[in-house]
Amino acid sequence: MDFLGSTLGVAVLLAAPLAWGTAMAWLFGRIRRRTPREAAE
Amino acid sequence: MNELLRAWFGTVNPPCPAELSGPMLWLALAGIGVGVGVVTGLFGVGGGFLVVPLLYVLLGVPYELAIGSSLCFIVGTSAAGLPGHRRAGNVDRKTVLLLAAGSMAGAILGDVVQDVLVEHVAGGDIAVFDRIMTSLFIVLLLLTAGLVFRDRPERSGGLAPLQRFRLGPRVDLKDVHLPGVSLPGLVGIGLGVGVVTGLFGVGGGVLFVPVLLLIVGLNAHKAVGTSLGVVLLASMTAVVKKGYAGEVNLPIAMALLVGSSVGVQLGVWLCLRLHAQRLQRAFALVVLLAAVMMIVDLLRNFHIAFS
Repeated sequence: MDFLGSTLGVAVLLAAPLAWGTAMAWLFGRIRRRTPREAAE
Repeated sequence: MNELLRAWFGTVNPPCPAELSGPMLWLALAGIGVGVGVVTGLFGVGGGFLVVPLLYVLLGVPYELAIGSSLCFIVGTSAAGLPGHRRAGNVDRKTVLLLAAGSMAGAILGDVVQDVLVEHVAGGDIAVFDRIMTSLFIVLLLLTAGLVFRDRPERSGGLAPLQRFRLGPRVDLKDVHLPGVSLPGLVGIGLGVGVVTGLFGVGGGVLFVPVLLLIVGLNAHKAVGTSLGVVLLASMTAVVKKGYAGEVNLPIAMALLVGSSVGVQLGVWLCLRLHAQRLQRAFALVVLLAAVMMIVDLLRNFHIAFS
């Protein structure tokens, strides 16, 4: 049970920064792709 | 709601003897994150060589926790910077996988070597061991800065050192136009940097960028993008190890990440606009700055030890 708890904890330690980083990359990627098109319009 | 917030901050407040607490502490962490994020996006380094001294020296976070939390932060910040470099074609997947394979094995080996050195060289005294390792790391950083600052040496016969390395089998890194690169050489470099990572507790990007530039033969932009990929995989391995040891503070890592998410985009944007040679020189200056920071920290430790 201890091992399961620690494994879950470690999974959160990996998932939280990965999810945040990926979300930010997606968000900023969208902003960057949209900006030139909107400027042209 | 206030009760809930107080309980949350009370639980997550890291052990930090600096004068800061509550929102000011989180703002300071986010501020450090912005600065380190720019460096990450610009130079493809995880930023561990900057975050660890900043957390330890500026905020007084315990050293082991600073290393673990910094590695957790590096996972997020390299994941944020990688897609930008991938879209620009700066990440060579084959090089990333081969270097990461060596680096992950090296990080585990480095940790074992660290335990042996603490026991047999420093006589079990962690403080003495830390001082020895910090001195060695400073020398390594100064050498790295010196090597990177020089112009890239002319390749003899147009070949990079790893293409001339005699040990086979060989792989073709077609995306970066490097045919016949020594496979054991490439994995061996990953292993070597991984051992240093395990020994010094940094992600390894600060060493991977110069190695990719000077030994593998990538140009500055491809070295930056590829290094970021290796750093992501290597730091994930390290977080698993440190996580099981209870040496990672997620709130510290996430606060740094919030700041660095903005910084890293600015860094990638700057990287794509800087001339390769200028990028190389700027990287050397950042490495030099990190060395100076560690020298100050080392002198401070000596002052405390002898006063």
